[in-house]
Amino acid sequence: MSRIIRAIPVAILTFIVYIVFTGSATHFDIVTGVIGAVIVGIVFGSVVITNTYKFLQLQRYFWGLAYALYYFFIAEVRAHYDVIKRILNPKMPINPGIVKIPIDVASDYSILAVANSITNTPGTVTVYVHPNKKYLYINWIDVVTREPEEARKAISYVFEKFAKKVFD
Amino acid sequence: MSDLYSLTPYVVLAVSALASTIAVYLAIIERDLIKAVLYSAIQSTFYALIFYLLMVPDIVLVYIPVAVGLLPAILIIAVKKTEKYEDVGGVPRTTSIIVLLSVTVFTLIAGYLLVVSHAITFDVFPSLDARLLAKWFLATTLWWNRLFSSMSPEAVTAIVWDYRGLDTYFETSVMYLAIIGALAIARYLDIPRKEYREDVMGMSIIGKMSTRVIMPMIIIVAISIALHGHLTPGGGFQGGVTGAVTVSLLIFIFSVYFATRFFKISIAILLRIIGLAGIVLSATIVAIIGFLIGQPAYIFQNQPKIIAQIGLPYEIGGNLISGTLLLFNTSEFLAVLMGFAILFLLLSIPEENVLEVIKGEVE
Amino acid sequence: MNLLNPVLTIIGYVLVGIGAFCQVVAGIGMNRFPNFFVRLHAATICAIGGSFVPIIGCSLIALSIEEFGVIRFFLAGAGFVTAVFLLILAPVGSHLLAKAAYFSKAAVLYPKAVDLLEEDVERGEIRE
Repeated sequence: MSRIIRAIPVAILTFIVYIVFTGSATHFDIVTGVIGAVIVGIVFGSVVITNTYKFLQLQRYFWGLAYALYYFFIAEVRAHYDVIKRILNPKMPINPGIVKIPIDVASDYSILAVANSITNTPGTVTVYVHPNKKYLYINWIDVVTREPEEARKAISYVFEKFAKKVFD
Repeated sequence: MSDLYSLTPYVVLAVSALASTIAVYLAIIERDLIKAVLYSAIQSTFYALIFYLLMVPDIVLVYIPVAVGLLPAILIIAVKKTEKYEDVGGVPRTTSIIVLLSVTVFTLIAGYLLVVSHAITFDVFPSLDARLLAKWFLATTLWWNRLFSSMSPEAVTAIVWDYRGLDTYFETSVMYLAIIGALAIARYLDIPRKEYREDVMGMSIIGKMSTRVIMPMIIIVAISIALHGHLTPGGGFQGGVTGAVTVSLLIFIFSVYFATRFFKISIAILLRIIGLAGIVLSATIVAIIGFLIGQPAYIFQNQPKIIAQIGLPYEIGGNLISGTLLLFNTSEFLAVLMGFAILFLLLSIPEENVLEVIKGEVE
Repeated sequence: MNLLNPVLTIIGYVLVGIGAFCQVVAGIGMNRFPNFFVRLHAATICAIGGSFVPIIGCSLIALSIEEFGVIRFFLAGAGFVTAVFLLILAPVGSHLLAKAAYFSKAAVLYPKAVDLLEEDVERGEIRE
């Protein structure tokens, strides 16, 4: 039973991907899309989803939208500008190193979101996740501080706040 | 001006023939073997150009990677493993002159043959008729006259599965025979049973979680590519290969013991057989219908023809399905996906288990 | 839709332009940066600014060309899905490369200001 309940969100998600990728919504697309999405949902539902209930909470979607807007229009732009400036500067002011930042989220998807957000912004790359899932090790192009809490404020605090709202 | 234009291929041909002859000569008299290999590669490049001018582009496509890329690479590796210089004092002058003369004669004969062929065809470049043919195919794969069309807007799928269906059947059967061979070699092998442990096996948590998200999306995109093969670029083989990425991700990011939760080899074989049966059925379905209702029909027939007036419907409720093309693409998708799943799973059997099985069989 | 098309086209071309600029800068960075780990940052510019952004731009341009008919939605949709795949998978590649290079010692982290991971490994807190 739980397998079928878990299959539903995966099926809906994959159906949306199917329709967007196909780019049309005729009867043929909808019928084949539903069949494919149901099969994929039943096969992969138990692997992808741990808690179906979270999908029903609408505020998560709004937080997700806010996360995307903040991420693409503020965080990414700032990070790109910063690293491009460093590349084009004749003196190339880099000060690389690996710092350790604490991370306080519950679900694995939050860790994925935070780590991917960090890696996707130029200037920071997640090198390692501590086995107890409480620390990330970040390669930082310009190490301002080696104190974990201050580094967290500079790198991941906002991502973590959003990720907690969306995935936890 | 038009004279100059028609002369261009001959000029290029003459220059490349001369240059390749010189390159052969240099390759023979050169004592540094690495340089000799390079000269030989240059000669191959000019030969490729000559082949192109002689209108055999398919040979060019094979010749360039093999003769320019692969052969010199192997020769250079061989030279590196042995000695760089010839220890005999070069080739005698008379031998080199004989070789040079024979190559020149060959080139002259080839040029003469070209001139003769020009006298027959009056043209060297691919003629405009070929383009007309391509335009005709593009225009008629979806046409008002069902008798001369396969009723699919995607010309590639129409040609692959309808116009040249038998060729494609033999092409795909090569791959299935290869998989059958792999299965026959590995008939006593099976993936060892072992519990999958999240904390020990596989790559880091980031890789695992993102793979969990992306896997269903890859599969659904593969299904979309396969099922829309008769409408947009794609098809069964392309979709199946895209879907097979999932299996390799499961094996490499997680573990083969995790992958066997989804794809057991026996189930994959069963699904592949279903896919192959689907291909055979789609190839013969019109013939079977014709046999049942007593009308003439062909194998690999899709739409009605003049002397075989039955065919599959090309649309259902206004949605184009192009008759057998959709059936072919679906079955091919299943067969290719499961074929690759079998191969990946077989390749990931640990070597110790393979050795154990081999020992048991020998003793 | 007619009024929206020029806007979509302009936004699309701007995004493609940004992508081209980012690719060039990332190439320069690849050449100038001193070691593997710093080059990963240039690779990130390549993946996000240089690939994700122009793919979205191409999708918008495809959406705005009405001569394509229904096919333009297929082009745009495929572009968007590809961009999302890239957004999820590019950082995973960077992370796994960095991790593998660090622990196999294939690339040396030098120059470095601080390496807290090494200190933790030496203390025996992490076994890899």
